Order: sequence, then structure tokens, then C-alpha cells
Amino acid sequence: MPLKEAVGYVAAAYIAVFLIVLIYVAIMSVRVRRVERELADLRDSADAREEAS
Amino acid sequence: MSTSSRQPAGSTEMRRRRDERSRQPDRRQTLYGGSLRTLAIATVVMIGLALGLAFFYAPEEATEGFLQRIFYLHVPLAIVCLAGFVAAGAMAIMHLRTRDPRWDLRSYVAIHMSLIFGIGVLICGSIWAKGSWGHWWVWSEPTLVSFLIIILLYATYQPLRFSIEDPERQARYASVFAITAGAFVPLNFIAVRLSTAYLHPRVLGSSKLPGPMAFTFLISLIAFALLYITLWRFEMTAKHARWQLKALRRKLSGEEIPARRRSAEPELGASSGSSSAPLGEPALTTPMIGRQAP
Repeated sequence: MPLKEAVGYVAAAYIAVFLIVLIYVAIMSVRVRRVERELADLRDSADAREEAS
Repeated sequence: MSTSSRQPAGSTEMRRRRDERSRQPDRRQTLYGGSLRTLAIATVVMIGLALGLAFFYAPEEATEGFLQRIFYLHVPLAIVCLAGFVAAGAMAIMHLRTRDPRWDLRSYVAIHMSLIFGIGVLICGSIWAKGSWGHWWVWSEPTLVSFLIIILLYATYQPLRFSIEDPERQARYASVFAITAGAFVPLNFIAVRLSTAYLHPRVLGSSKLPGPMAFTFLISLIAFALLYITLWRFEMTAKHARWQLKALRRKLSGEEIPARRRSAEPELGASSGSSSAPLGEPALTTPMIGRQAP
């Protein structure tokens, strides 16, 4: 197989795998950020409750 | 009612507090600890090293030429994926022995990760097959078909979980599935190896692989194993944190445990019957920031 054609296949294989991993990491990061945000809100809520009492 | 609407000080006050907190570096909150960050850095370094070795160090194979470099991606990924399924089976055994739902969660996340890796294996394998054999898929090739069977088998894991409403029964049945399927993986591998049709290239377990190629392969295997462990721990941490958040929210609002929404995900507090201190963990008074999921 000519080198140019082989490079295309090899690049496609590596890019496909790393893209899958990247998409997964991006989804998980969004979820973790949401949890962090909610956690901050809850902490504020607890602080406010403490102050009020 | 949302958390923010319950806020007596108002949303502006809440935003001010959040801004203040983000300015304090010692109070910056992350859900993952230092060990996960170290693991992630080690993974990135190892993957970089594996890529460097695969493209600049490993010699070109005589028959396939440059195309053979997919081997350093495809084979380690497949090995890690199958090892993950077997590990999930071992975790399921621990769940059935101890009845600890955390083992069920570990097994669930391991199967999830292996499925993601498995999809990667199928895609890069198909690309290699197209380049090497001229076909995206060869149905007469036992290794390809057996791997597809394993992936399809594990694809039924989530629907199986979802079909069972009772969390305890769901965890038990899922563990039985994980053990049975986990035992099927090595049996299937041996059966394919013993089959007579040797169409798939066999380079491991023989003296065919020269030193630099074997070294590159080993580094790639370590790199993908590290990637699997990092992502597994990342997902475990995220799931753990989300469950702790739910428990904390319930505690703050004084709500009773709400009816469980039907889900395929393991419920950590399912068998304890208590929202405050399930799983033999300390009572949840503050969120355990930075604490690693086990």
C-alpha cells in the first residue's frame, strides 16, 4: 500500500479512538461541573441558614 | 422548588459568595483529589510516549508497512477492554459476597468503560481491516465476530438493569450477568485461539515480534491500561459526588427519601434504607470534597 494511503488509514484510526475518549471526557466534565455548581449553591444555602439562625 | 429559590439571601448574594469563594485559592472546590490528577498526568505522559514510540521508534513492518502502526492502538485497546470486562466480573463477585452496593457501582462503571473502549476497538479494527484486507468487516474471521459477540452481549447489560425496578434485585441480577459474561470472555478468547482458521494476524505469544516492536507494544498497553483506570476513577468520583450531593440536598431540605426514579444506574443508598449514613460510611454532614471514590 502506498505510504500516503496508509497514513490516511492510520490517522483515521487514531483520531477516531481519541475522539471517542475526548467526547466521553467532555460529557463527564460537564456533569462534574454541574455537581460542583450545585454543591456551591447548597453550601451557600447552608451558610445563609446558619446566619439566619 | 429549586435550591436557588429557597435561598433567603437571594440569588445576588449567592453569586457574590460564589465569586468570593472562587477568588480564594485554598477554598477552590474540585471533586477530585490529587491522586486522580497525578494519575491523569501519568496517563497523558504515557500516551504521548506510546504515540512517539509507535511513530518514530518502532520499525516498519515488512508486509503491511506504515499501516501496521494501527497495531499499537488496536491490540492494547482490545486487551484492556476485555480485561475490564473480566475485572467487572470479579467486582460483581465481591458484590455478591459482601452485598456492598459500592462493588456493584464499580462493576457497572468498569463495564461502561469497557464498552466505550470496545467501540473504539471495533472502529479502529474496521479501519485496519479496510486498509489491510480491503473490507470493513469480514464475517468469516472468528476474532472479529467473537469480539462483536462480546460487545453485543455487554450491550444488553444496561437494558437488563433498566428492566428491573427494585434496586437490590437489579444489583444482584446485574452482578450475576457480569460474572457469567466475565467468565465468557476468556473462554471465548481460548476458543477462538484453538479454532483452525488462523486468518487474524498472530503476533503475540510467538517469537515473531522483534524487540523494539515488543517494547512499543508494552508501553502502549501500559498507556491504555492507565487511561482505563483514570477514566474509571473519574467516573466513580463523579457518580459518588452526585450521590453525596443528592443525600446532602435531602438532609438540608429535611425531605423524606423520594421514590426512586427508574434507572439503570446503581443506587448507592439502596440497601441501607437510610439517607444519612449508608454503606457504613460516616454520616453525611458535609460534602466530602476531594475525597476519592473508592
